[in-house]
Amino acid sequence: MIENHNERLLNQLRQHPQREPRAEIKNRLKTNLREKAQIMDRKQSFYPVLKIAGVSLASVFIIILLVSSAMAPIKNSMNLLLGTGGGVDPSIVDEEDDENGTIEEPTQEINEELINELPFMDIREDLVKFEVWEDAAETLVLYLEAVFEKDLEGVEIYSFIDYHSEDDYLELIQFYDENVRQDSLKVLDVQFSLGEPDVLALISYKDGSGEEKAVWYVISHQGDTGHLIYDTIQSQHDESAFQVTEKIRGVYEKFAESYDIKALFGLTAEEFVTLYFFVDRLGDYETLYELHILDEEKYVVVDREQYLEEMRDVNARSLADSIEDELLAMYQVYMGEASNDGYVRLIFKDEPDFPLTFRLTFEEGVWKSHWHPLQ
Amino acid sequence: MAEDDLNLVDEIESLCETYYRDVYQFCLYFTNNRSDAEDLTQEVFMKVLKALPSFNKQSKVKTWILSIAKNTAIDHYRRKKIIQFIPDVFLSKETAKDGLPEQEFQIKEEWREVTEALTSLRPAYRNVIILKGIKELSIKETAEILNCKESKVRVDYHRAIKELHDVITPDEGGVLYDRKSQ
Repeated sequence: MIENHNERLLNQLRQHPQREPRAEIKNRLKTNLREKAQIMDRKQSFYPVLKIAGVSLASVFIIILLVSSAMAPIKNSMNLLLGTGGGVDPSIVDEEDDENGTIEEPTQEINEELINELPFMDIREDLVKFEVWEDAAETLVLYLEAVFEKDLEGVEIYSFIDYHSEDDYLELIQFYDENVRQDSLKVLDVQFSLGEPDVLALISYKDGSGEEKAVWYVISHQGDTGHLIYDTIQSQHDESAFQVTEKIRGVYEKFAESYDIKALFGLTAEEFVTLYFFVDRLGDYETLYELHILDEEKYVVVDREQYLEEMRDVNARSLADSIEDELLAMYQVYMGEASNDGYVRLIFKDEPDFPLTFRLTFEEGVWKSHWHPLQ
Repeated sequence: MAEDDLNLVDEIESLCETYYRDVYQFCLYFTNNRSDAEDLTQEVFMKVLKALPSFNKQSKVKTWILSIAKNTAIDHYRRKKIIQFIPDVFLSKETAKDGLPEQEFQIKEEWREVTEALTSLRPAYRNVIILKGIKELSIKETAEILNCKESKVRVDYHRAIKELHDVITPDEGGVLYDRKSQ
């Protein structure tokens, strides 16, 4: 009787009227995938060349910037043409024009307004899409506006960090001026703090050389008084998202000697993932094997020889080869499932909208990788 | 898994062709919303493409892809927190009653209740019903995708089915039982 009820229930569920996928949507996806796969294939083939070319282009760009700093009017034109730097630097506008009553071109004014407003509109909208409360989103936008408009008082009002002197706020404003392109800000992710009303927003930006970086802003709820922004940009700016620290190198050396899991004690989930890719990049597949779950009672464990053979395949592509240059952000996320599993999100510069998740498990006091960790 | 000598383009095309339906249906049952399901399916295959170069061919491809779908769906759930039960035009009570014969309308109503009940279950129970119950995967495959022991799948499956019944027929005389026992 119960079986019949169950089967009936499942049969009803199977009769979903939209059960069959739409062919046009599938075909569109296939086209997108084909294009992206071609790009990835090309990247893989030309990766070393691209790297050298990238460095050369960056050098040329820096030289142009240096030269143009001595040629302010040209720099203004470049900014307008390339849409960089948020328009004309007010310090280098020819004041005579105003005095002589020269009429400014209205189109330029509109473009400047658009450049100044659109990024923050996008940020507000994106935060709300991520289900951030509107007043919290608004506070972050107001904070950013204050920073970019060099509004010292505004920064003080919305900043969570209570700097001791005005100079510290000025330093922060100057930091943004020198390192963050206003038109490049983009919301990548939002995390809701467990048990607290704070919201963490991950935002990417481009620095002066066009290098993409990501920074966390904590939108801290202050009760009836609204929200304040904890800005971590100064401490995070120089750090690469993929950092093989001395601690991680030390753990590797210890662990590779004996495969004793005690060596892994104290590694955070993110540090473990860094270690994993570091070992993969070194080509030390014996150690890499040992970083996986090896508990045969609970999991299906891959045969060691088979694993080593697969990994040593010279044609095998590995994310580890390019992760240092490509990784934009890495952080642990909580899926809300009752298990020992942990998830570390990896966001890449070329496709920030499609992050990967690295799945690992915490047992006997250490993190270990699943057998197909990347999802 | 695709042949070793296939390039990335061929591999991803082949995977999309083979598993699109499975992934779409998983996402559809998880979200109960076609548009969300299509978006999630796209996200899943983008992740598959990105992770494909690192995929060690030890695991079964279907298991791997469905575990990506599961995590993507849970992530979606975590972000949305509250799944919206927006009945589309096709499922709207009023429209259905106006446009469909009584019997067909009743079937659709029952179906709507069941799918909404499924969507109201906690994600872990929803997963096990979709994979084992609806998609009819084996206990072993379901366990691999959900990354747990087979015994847990068995227990969860029975609990999930029971909870589904409880949601649909809270007083043991609910709509579904009454109708079906007639």
